[in-house]
Amino acid sequence: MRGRLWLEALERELIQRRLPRQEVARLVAELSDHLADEMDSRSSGGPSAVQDTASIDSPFDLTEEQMSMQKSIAVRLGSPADIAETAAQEFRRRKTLLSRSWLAAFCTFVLLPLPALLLGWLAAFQAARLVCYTCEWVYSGEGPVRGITPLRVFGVNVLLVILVVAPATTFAAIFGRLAKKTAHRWRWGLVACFLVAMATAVVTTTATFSDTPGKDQIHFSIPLYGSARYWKSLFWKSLANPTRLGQILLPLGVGVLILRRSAGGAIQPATCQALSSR
Amino acid sequence: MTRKRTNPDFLNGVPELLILHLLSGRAMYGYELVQAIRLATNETLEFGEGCIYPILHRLQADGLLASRRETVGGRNRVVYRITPGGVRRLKESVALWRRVAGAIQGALQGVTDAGPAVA
Repeated sequence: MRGRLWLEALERELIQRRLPRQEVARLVAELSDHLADEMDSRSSGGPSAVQDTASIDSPFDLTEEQMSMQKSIAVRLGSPADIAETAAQEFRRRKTLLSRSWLAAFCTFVLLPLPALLLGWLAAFQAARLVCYTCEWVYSGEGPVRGITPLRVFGVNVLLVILVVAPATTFAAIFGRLAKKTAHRWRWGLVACFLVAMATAVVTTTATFSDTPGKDQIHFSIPLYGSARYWKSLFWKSLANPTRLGQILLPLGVGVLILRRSAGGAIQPATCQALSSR
Repeated sequence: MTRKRTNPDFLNGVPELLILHLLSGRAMYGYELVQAIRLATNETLEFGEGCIYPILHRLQADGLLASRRETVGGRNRVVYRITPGGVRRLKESVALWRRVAGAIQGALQGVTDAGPAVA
């Protein structure tokens, strides 16, 4: 099989596998260079003689020896079907846009975490509210009016911490996992987990209890702006308060743990269909 | 056309490891890289040379390699070089490869010394 016919067969196989036109053109061009190099190497003992593949394939110039040589070259390169199959597999295995684009990574790991976390908190508090209303409706009219017991205060405060920390930890895990799948894993993943942890640290929740059923209130606030002094004081207060410290450490710890676990999977399977050992 | 014997499962990850290792020494174009693999492995590995290009393209898309058209030996070629990300990946891959190879070596040594556990 002559070089040009081999390249045409390869192009057909690549197109059949629906590879992008740009990828097909690049592969064919590089393999064409490869063929030319191999021909040079065989005919002149080194890749010095410049000879393009068109001249190699000229049917009028080919001697029987040259045709036999080109056939062996095609065998050495691999069959067009094998190469096309490998190309299709490798193309599918390429990382997403997130791995390649700095902007996409910035948007995902720097801009997205805080809005996503806010939505997560909103969903968590709405779910809790729904549960409370349901309980109120189920137990309405039963028993005496409730009092403000220490157990009730403790239970509500624990619930508030869970409502704040659970979505934050979940998002830290999600961003850690997402970062693990990209080439920028540590850098970007750590930034996202740090942002989530910091946002969790500055959240304030308070509960106001009432003897009257249905009149309890929960306040959830996030300071969006303030002076440098205010943020500094908030930061030190957070470190001094065990609950707030937990709010920082839990999401950060989970995110870092997921990122660390990614370090073991370094060798990715790279399938080359025509690779074998003697 | 003669088709080469294939064994993709057994040698998963080997082409990537070899490519990164060889390119960590110096930048090379595809043909040069294939010859370097043959030489480095003493022609122990047999492979369809064309398969190297899709792997190179994937490694480049993953940010582990960079490529540029350059004139080498009077001809315009695509030259590949390793990136800092590729160097990091190479270190991880080499460490994992050594661990796996050591474990297999240990297992084979155990069988040789003590004989097969199951008759």
